[in-house]
Amino acid sequence: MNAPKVSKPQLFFLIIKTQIGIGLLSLPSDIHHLAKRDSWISVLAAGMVIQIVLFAYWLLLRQFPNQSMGQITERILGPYAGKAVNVAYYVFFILIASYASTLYVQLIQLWMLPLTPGWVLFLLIVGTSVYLAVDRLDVIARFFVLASILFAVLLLISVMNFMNPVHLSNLLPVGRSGTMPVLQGSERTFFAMLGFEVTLYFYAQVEGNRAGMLRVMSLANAFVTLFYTYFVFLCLIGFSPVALEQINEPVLFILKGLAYRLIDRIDLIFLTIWIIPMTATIVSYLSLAGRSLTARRPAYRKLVALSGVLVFATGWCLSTIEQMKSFSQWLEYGYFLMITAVPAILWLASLLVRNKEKAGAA
Amino acid sequence: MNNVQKARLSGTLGQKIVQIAAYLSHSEDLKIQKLSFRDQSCAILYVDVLVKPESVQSNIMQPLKESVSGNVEQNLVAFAVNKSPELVRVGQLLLEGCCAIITAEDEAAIMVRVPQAHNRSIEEPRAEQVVKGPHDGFIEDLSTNIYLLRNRIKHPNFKVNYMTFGTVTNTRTAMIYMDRLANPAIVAECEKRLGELELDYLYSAGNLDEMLEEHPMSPFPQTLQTERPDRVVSYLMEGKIALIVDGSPSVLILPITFFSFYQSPDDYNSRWLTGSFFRFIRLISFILAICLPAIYIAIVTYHSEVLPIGILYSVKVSLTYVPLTPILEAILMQIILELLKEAAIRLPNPISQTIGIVGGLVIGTAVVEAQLVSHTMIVVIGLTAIASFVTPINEFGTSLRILGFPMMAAAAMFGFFGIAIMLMLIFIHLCKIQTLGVPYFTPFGPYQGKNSFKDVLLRVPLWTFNKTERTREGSLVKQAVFGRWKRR
Repeated sequence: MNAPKVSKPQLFFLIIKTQIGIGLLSLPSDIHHLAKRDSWISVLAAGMVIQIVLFAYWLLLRQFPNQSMGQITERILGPYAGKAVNVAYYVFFILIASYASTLYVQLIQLWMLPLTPGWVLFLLIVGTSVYLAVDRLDVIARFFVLASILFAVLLLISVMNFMNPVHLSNLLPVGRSGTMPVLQGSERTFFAMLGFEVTLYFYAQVEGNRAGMLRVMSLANAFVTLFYTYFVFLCLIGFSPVALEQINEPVLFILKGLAYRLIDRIDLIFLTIWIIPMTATIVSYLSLAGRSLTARRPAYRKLVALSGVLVFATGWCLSTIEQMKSFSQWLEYGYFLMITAVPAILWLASLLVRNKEKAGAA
Repeated sequence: MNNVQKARLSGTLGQKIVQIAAYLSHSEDLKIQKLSFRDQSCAILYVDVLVKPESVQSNIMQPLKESVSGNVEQNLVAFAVNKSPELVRVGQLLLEGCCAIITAEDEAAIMVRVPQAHNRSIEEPRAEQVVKGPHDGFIEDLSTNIYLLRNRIKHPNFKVNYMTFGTVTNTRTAMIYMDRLANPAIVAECEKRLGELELDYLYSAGNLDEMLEEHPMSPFPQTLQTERPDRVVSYLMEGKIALIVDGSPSVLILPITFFSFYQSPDDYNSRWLTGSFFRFIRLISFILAICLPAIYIAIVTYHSEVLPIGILYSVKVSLTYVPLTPILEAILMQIILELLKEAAIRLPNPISQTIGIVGGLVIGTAVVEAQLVSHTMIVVIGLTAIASFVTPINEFGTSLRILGFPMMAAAAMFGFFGIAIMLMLIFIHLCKIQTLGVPYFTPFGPYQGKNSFKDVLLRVPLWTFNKTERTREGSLVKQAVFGRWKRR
């Protein structure tokens, strides 16, 4: 698994394709519950937080330029504790992938195929994801870059929204909600923007020198933040505050209002295209799951296939749970610790370890 | 068998003749003529269908009879003279159109090349016609085909490697590439794969194609077969390898990428704006050929709300009395279309026109009037067929029509979701496969700089092609697709 390398632009697309996914569709109404008219500020604030996290990643990864997270933990924490942390990561990646695919399947059932049994959809989604995820990282990157062309189409479709009546006054006055609601809103946004943690695992596989890596990571974050802000902004000016609270997927719903002579339901077209970023997210997590436990190629392939089975099973179980809310809260906070606190601690530890080595040498 | 492989000519003249005749199964077209060359007796053997009688007469017989001095070899009027005492070698050369001269004294037979050639004249290939540009095409003769290429590239780096495949057919094959321009790793890989081939027979370039493919289960062709010399020249100049099989007018190009199947010589012979326009139309046709029937099926079965009420009404009305479900309807029409195509393709022109009329007019209109199939379906299938015929390489269009079937099935089962998943699978597959180590989806695969995109979605003007530098000293500098190149 040492051979395949990806370029920096490919890393950019790997990150944005993982981040942009199912979370965005329901995001505007989710934050609106908390931050009201200042939701868009919440998104920007979440972007800032992620930027700080990315900076911490960069500090950590800079010291181990050719090792992925799985190897770094074992190096810093020793073989047993490191393995334990890696297994924890693996479990979380599987859970996140299952959770994402559960939401994904529920969305498809709600909007497109209400009568199709859920497991069939799970099978299709996970099967497609595994088919891509088992391959080398450069192949995954190739597909993600290609699929990113569709973002242009999505943006184009979203621009049509401006033909609907829009009320810029919905945003005014800026900052009325106050600081706390905005911060609470950005907490929700943070969870919708998950996926930047792929850097931890893909960083080592970028070819060329390490200069400019922080820039690539920041650019990806900036793109995603602006992309999200734009869609939240669209929903804020497109819906009245009362309506926005009652809709589950405002990003899709807002397109429902558009009608043309030839085509009536743009939202379905949008959703069809959106299927690709949603699947890409699951591909990324499956690939992360494989990478978190092994660095060797044949083992990786088997592990990804096994992870696919696990995601399928877990996702199916999750979809039968009534209380998704509590589960998702628990999952999100746990995951939050894993991707922010653990790398930060590792970074601090790495400083200590290095100092110790130096002291030993002297 | 081993004895035969090692056998050498020996004994008296008569014994040698019998040896050769026995080796060639006493075939009756092996002609043996005895004559005396100054006082010594010798024999001339040849397979009379393979040699040119006039050359045997004027280059071998006459000089030998009239000679006054020197030995046999010195008297022959021929440019290619071989000597071999090995029976197998003599037999092989006889089958390649040589004439063998054996004498009682000399152990080795003298082989003189006097081949007969019955070649078709050079014509424009029927399957790859162009509006503008050269109208010559490859024929079944290897030498003529190499001539057509050499005549266009007069450069010392034009390299030909001959190989022979097939233990029975002994088919000569040429591997041609531009030395120093083609990537040596790719050339080595190709040579390695060709070296490992073990075949009894090689009929055509298609056979070779099947043996070289990396992903035999893929629906996409991984080598490009063309009968156009100008096309092959352009690929050679891009550093690709051409394989020519004797007896087959198709030339194999490899490694090939997806977008090569959407390029046509016409693009380069007309102005860049026109070229780009048609390139773009062709790429749209790729998506249309795969998706159009599937989209129609998905809309009428699952997502009829996508259409505004006016159009929906007319579509649904035409479906009212149709006894088949949309998926069956689509598959039926696709199969009818393929039937018509298959029936018409091999028939002589006047009859195939009749088929066109029967198929297009009679079946097309009657099937709608009988309300077996809806109007819209006819339109959709017609458009799909046309879109799939747009690809400049016919083989690729067929792949697209075949891919249309799983696509339709997915649409019938899962609507738009099925289409999106199927398209994803197709594109993931395209990203995965490689030919000779080159990703099929280059340049979308590994990013290779802005220049590599210039000839993909559009055909930008030739003068914008920068020289792309090669790393090695003294290597060739590629300047343009159809371009000039010079030594640095």
